[in-house]
Amino acid sequence: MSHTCREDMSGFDQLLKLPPGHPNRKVVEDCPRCGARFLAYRKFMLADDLSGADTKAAQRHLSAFIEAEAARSLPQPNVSKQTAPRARFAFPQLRWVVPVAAVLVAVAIGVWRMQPGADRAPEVRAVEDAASIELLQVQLMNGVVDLTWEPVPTAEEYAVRLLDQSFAEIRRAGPVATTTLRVDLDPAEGVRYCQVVALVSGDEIAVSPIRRLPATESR
Amino acid sequence: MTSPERIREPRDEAALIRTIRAEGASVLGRRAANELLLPYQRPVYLWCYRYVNNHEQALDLAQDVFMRALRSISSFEGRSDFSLWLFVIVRNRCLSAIRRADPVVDAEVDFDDVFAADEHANPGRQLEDDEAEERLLALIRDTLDPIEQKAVWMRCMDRMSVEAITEILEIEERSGARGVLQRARRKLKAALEARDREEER
Repeated sequence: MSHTCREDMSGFDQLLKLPPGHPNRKVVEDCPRCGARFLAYRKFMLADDLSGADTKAAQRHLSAFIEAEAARSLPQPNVSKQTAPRARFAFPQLRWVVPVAAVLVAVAIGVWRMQPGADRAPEVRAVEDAASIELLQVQLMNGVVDLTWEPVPTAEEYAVRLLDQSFAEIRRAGPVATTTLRVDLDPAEGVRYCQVVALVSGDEIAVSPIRRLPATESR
Repeated sequence: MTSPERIREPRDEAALIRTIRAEGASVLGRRAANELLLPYQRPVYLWCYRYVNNHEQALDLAQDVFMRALRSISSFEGRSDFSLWLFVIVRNRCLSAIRRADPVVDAEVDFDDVFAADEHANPGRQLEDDEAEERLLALIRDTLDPIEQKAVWMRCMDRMSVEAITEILEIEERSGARGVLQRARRKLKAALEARDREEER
């Protein structure tokens, strides 16, 4: 059976459902690149214990994180279900243009999806594009957090979110137009984590990973 | 060999994702997100731990993975299983973290000096270089046995530790992946030297 080596991992999920030794699975496992990645995906799914890893503590921590992060990261639901009054069509004689264009676009998408590999490949690459800010430094000295991060080309300004141990936002520092910020901390606030957000007209366009504040002060 | 279907409990991930997309940050949406991601907390954390070998750093990486997943979930169209989509995020995140860290070269099992003889196949030269990747692929295919091929790929391209490679490839020999990588080094060195002699003639 021939194998075309793939640069992404499309189709690995379906292969994993086949029994070990299945010819379709074996042909992929035999390729150095695909085989290495497929076996890695398989190991990820198995999630076997690793010496030194504390999965119970990790699950407690991540449950709290996901709970808090879902509220921040998922889009806000529509508050109002009221619909705007229908706009009057300015050129009634062109009313047919919109449905025809929609049909043409749908047909074009259908044709594109019929191309070999077009159906699955982009899916496993899509997340690469998610905007994020790289934190270069998080330092704590004399009760002051010193943060530095990589600039985001389109950002107008940045703010720093200060979070407690359950990842709830206590307050925000900033906004600033620079890529560095010093924040005074009051120990009574209980700040444990911080996160930089990039803003355009007040809207978030990118965020940094959430970082634990250093437990000990830098000298 | 353990069955890979072990963590696949019968549940409708597509329905959970539809709920998340429709409900967003509402109580229903958040509940669906929690339910969707709960079974992946362990695999994501363990995958990150394989790379950094440190609980706190693995948690930081895992947090970042889940944040990216939540922020990108509206772009997930269900053309692959959610698990594979999430694995791509984890893998890329770990790779970029390890690339940023100071590389520690282990002369017994790393290949930079071997591939220095063939700069076009040298994955250390420029990891994003597709041509280098293809050259490396051709070279190891022609020279190494299947386990060695995968071990070299995991070491050079996926920047995995010797311990992680031993575990993933389920290598049972006493020296684990270290022995396999050392053997592969010798074979690749010999093959490249033979090729150079051939070219000189």
